[in-house]
Amino acid sequence: MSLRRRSFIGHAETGRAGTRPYGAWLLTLSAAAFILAAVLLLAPAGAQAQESPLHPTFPLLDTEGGNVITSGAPISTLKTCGSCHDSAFITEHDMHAALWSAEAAAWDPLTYGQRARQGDEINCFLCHSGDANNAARLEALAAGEIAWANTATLIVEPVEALIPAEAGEASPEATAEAEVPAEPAAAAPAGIVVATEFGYAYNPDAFAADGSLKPEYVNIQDPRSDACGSCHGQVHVQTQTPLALSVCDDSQTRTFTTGQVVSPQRISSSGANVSDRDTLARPWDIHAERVLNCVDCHYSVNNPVYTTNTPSGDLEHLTFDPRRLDFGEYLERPSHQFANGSEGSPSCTNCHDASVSHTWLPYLERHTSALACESCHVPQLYAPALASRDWTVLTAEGSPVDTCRGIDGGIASPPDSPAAALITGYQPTLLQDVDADGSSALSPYNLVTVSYWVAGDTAQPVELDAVRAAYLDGDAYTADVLAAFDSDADGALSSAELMLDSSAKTDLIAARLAGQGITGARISAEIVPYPIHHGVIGGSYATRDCQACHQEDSRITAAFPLGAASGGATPTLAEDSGVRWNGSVGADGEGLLTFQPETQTPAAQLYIFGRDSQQVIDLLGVLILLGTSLGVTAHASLRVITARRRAKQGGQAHHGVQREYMYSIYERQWHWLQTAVIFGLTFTGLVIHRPQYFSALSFAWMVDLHNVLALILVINAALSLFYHLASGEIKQFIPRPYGFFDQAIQQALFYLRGIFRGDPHPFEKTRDHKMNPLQQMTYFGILNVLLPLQIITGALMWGAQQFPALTNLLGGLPFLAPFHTLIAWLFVTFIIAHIYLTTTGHEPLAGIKAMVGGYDEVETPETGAATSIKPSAETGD
Amino acid sequence: MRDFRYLWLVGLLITVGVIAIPVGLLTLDPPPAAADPWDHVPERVPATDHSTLLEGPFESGSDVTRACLECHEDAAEQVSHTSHFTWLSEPVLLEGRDEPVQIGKANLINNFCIGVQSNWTGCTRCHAGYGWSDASYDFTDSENVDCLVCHDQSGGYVKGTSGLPAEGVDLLTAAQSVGTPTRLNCGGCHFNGGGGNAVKHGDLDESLYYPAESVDVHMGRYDFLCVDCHQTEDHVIGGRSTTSSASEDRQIACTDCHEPTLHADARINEHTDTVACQTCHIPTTATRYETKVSWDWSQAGQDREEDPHEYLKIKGEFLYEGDVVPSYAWFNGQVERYLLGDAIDPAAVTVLNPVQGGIDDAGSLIYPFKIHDAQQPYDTVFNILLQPNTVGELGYWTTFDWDSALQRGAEAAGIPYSGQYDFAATRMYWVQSHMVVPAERALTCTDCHGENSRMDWRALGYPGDPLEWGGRDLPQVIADDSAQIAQAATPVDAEGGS
Repeated sequence: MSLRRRSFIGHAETGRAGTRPYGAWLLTLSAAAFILAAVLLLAPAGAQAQESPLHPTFPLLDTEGGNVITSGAPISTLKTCGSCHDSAFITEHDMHAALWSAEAAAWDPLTYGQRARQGDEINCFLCHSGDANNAARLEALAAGEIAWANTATLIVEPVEALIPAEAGEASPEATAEAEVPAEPAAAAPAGIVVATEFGYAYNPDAFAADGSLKPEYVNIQDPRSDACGSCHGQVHVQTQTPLALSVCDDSQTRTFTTGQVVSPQRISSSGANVSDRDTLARPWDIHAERVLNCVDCHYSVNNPVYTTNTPSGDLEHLTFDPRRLDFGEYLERPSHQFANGSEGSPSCTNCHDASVSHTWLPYLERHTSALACESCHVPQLYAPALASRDWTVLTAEGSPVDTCRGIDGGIASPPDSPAAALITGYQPTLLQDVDADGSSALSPYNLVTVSYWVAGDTAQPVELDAVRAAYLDGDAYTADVLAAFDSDADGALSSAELMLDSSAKTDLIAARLAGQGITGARISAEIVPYPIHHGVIGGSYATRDCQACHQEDSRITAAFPLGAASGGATPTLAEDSGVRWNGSVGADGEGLLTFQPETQTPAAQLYIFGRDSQQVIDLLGVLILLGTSLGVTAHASLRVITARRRAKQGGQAHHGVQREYMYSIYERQWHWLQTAVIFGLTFTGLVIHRPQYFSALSFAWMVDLHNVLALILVINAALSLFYHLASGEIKQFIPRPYGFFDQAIQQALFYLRGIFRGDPHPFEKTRDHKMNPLQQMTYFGILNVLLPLQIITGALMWGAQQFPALTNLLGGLPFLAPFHTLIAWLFVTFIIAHIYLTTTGHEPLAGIKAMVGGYDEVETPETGAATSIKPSAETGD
Repeated sequence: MRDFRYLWLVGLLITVGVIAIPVGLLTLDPPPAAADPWDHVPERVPATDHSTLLEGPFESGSDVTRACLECHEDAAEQVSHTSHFTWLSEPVLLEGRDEPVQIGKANLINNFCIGVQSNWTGCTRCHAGYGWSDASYDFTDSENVDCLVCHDQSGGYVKGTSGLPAEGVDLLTAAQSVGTPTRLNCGGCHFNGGGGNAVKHGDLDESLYYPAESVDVHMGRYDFLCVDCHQTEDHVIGGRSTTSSASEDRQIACTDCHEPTLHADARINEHTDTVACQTCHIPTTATRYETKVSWDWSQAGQDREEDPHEYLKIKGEFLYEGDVVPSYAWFNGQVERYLLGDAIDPAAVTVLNPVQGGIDDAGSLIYPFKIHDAQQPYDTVFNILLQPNTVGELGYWTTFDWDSALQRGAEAAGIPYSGQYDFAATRMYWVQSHMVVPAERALTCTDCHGENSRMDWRALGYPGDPLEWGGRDLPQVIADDSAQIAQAATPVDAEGGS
């Protein structure tokens, strides 16, 4: 039990050295240790906060600049904090203030535009007080006590203890602190402010005689992560108390929309009912585990500790400019523009060098340019996230009807309590997140289907009050709504009944809206992407199996289930949402909506090896290959049959043969090296092309191997070219123009006719003239067309990493890769034909033997009709 | 050359080489094969069935030993030189002393039941021999060796006073059952150190007889026996005590089997230069049974309500704790040791086994300890700790007369006693090495770093959390100050040892 543990530490620190704990002494000491431990443990929950280590004491001022302890007026943060900090500057630059200012709050279907700021001053305490009470602040705002909202933030007691019971039940457990079991409210108020039944009051004990706060009540500090979490989502930095997972709680914004949870706790030791929890020894978020706070990444951009943007600007010879804000200047005017994805950017690469940690990953730059780090490092969200929000129907409280994903393996209504559902989490979909410079990388997103009523030509959202009036009379459904929706006639509408699943219901509500003067009301539904940047995990748990993406069932193109839109409409993809929609909305086998990502859309321009292929090319390749194989087989069969027949008829005697040194050592060496390399390339290429058939082989290693083999091939080809040029052997490959076609026809006729008759070969094969005209033609094609093309396309594909601009200029992977595949098919076809033709010598294995040993046995010109193709030969024409 | 018949073989070799060399050089390194810790675990030798070999009848333990020696001729000779039998080490030169000394349970005092001398009949229930009841015990008589306490597999072998078989023990059944020592054999004594289950060690208690893997991964998940790690050769059992033996011989380390940098996470591997494996992998001890953390002998002798975990008239007042978060200190494997007759400062806490090490000692790592505090008798004239006679008809546990008990004990131990006594504070450090939990339950960063840290970094000699202030290898920002803190914080300073 943690209290006892604490007592041990406390005891060790305080009691052991030199004391003589006789009985009662010991008990007293340990009791003191217990209390100390309890205080330490519960400090974040309230009680007496520890004093700020640095911040001086200060008076609390009202809007007139008077001390609140005398005026009793609400605290003005602008005046109070502004007496030292430049509150005008901060207000002007503060990102939170800007986001919340009424003019900037664009209509957000998630909140139905209920987000505008309510005129309260910028609330310094909410972030900078060590024990800010957001629940009390929200209570004040809800009660219309706008001016008191900031003051209420300083109430230390749990809000439930201070406000009437009804309100307490209604208030969401918004703060992370609320999870910690609180001590019963102490007799003396612990905080600066107390809520009484007569309103807010100041605790005189908190103030010194000069009207300043006593030091122990000054608890001003850097924003703690849980302070951020009280508005942004679930943050749980306590390691001693198990995290109680927020499930579909819309006060935990980011957790609600995406399932991101920031906590150092292992999922296995948290209090969440997560499927297979015991096996999930990973923390909810590795950065939280590694003791990073929110503000470590989301720092104020003029914080001199973090700032890299310095007056040196773009001077390349300067890596650091010491002429920067000093701390005093910063503390007076912290900009409060926080580094985030678009501003100042806490990008992963600010801290991490992927090239050091990803040495196992081929094509690192290609991966990191096409994929955000989060794509692999947030493989799965372990908390549920919103799937759909339907504003076209309203609960009796006037709230929309939600469904969440990641519950019981799919999309379901929010459970009655977090423990009532088995949390299965979900795999986010990957969308192209477009940066300011137009570049885009696949990043994880949750997609939320939002439905709401619109009216008018411009499809303006219908006022929520009007929708409320359409359903509700006060806090009860109107009779006709109840009649239309209450299918089980129990007088209440369940989430299953709250659904516009018939035109009768839709028409009824449209009519009731029309009754309020809103004509042409109709349902609009859109899919809103919510980006995911937290809940990050390190390498051990990240996606690192290549075949997660590089195979047919690629994770990148996995269909993402969508929440249903109201009235069964097909929702549209939200525009201007910062993403490039690389996919489309469709339906899965059961008619449920899915988002189907695609790779080779004009916008996406992705070609995922192992997954993407041009079926036409593969089909063509297979056909050519099969055709060649069939032809070869037929030809060989005929040869065998005719040879037997000739043998039976007594046939002709063998043509006389003579041994001739045909292939030099180098020729043989480069040939066989090339053979081995080409076989290797063909096989590794096949694995890369269709990895699902070779799942035992490491995809990454195959890619690597393919590249190295290609390098050997290119070097071997280049050396061979040099040899042939330097030695003049190249002549053998170049067909002589004179009589070429006649000779070619003559050779073709031999293969088609003479070979079956046992005719001698039409041309003499000699050291200097190894190739017949057909061979010359073929090799000319292979070596001058196919091989260079394959090398060029391959190099360009490799260049997608090294010189992406050139690769993209020449068609990019979506063009180059299928082209490379096509040539590979042709190569394989050639190899089959080539191997077969080696058997057409005077005996089947003679050609191969010659290429091994160098000596060929060729028909002697005297005995056969072979015609020399030497220029001097008498060919008869 | 043309006609060399096997030229093609040369070509083949060249081809293979030209491909294999670049492939070997240029393809990405495959992940290195992890060393397999099982390579270091000995194969267990199946025990010979002795049921037909031994017929008895056995009247005494020594009868059994004689029977064992008929075949295992060297066994008793081997055992009789081990510390399980002698309760003494080989002579070692202790820190701060001129002469090598032999130390062990036989002649040391601790701050639990204090010491063996004058209390032999009670203490030697856990002696691997028979009949040690006074100082005149014959350690050379091979028939005094107790084979059964370690090898009995019947479960019915129990030792009583002076280490003799308890009344009613079926020696024949026990003798016929012998085999490799199991957790039950070792645990019978070691899980009950200090006079009962879980009292002494913190990391050794009866939950380890049949532990869940969450209690001890080696014994729970993989069914290790003690002797799988405490490997034994010629009856010399591996391992050492840091409380009663100063010799580092036979030290067992996690790294005997595990690579210190086996963690997939480089950040964690960074820690192994500073932090012992145990520190993260033993988050708490005494997880199932509470262990004693404090013992106040000065309160003994009162007629108060008794509770074995709070107060006993014969022993005084206790504090027990469960799920103990260890205390952490630098430790380089060396311990000093308080020896009988050493002077103490009664105003300070006397540490009986000051563990050596410090932040500036590169060989030191941060280790987890259970700390046991006590108030125990000392001579106010000579300022030395005293050895009371507790066991027996004239011992304190019967008479409740400290003066006579201390007098008798001092005579037996050969130390002076002035007749004036009081109680002084003492402390012992018990290194925690058992109850290793599965990796997925080990400590994580936030247990030691950040706001909710369990480490007192300044007490360990750091200027602050090393996550922010840098580790001990980095230049210390406030070096002078931190050195002083280190001096004050490490247990060595208590100065009781010399």
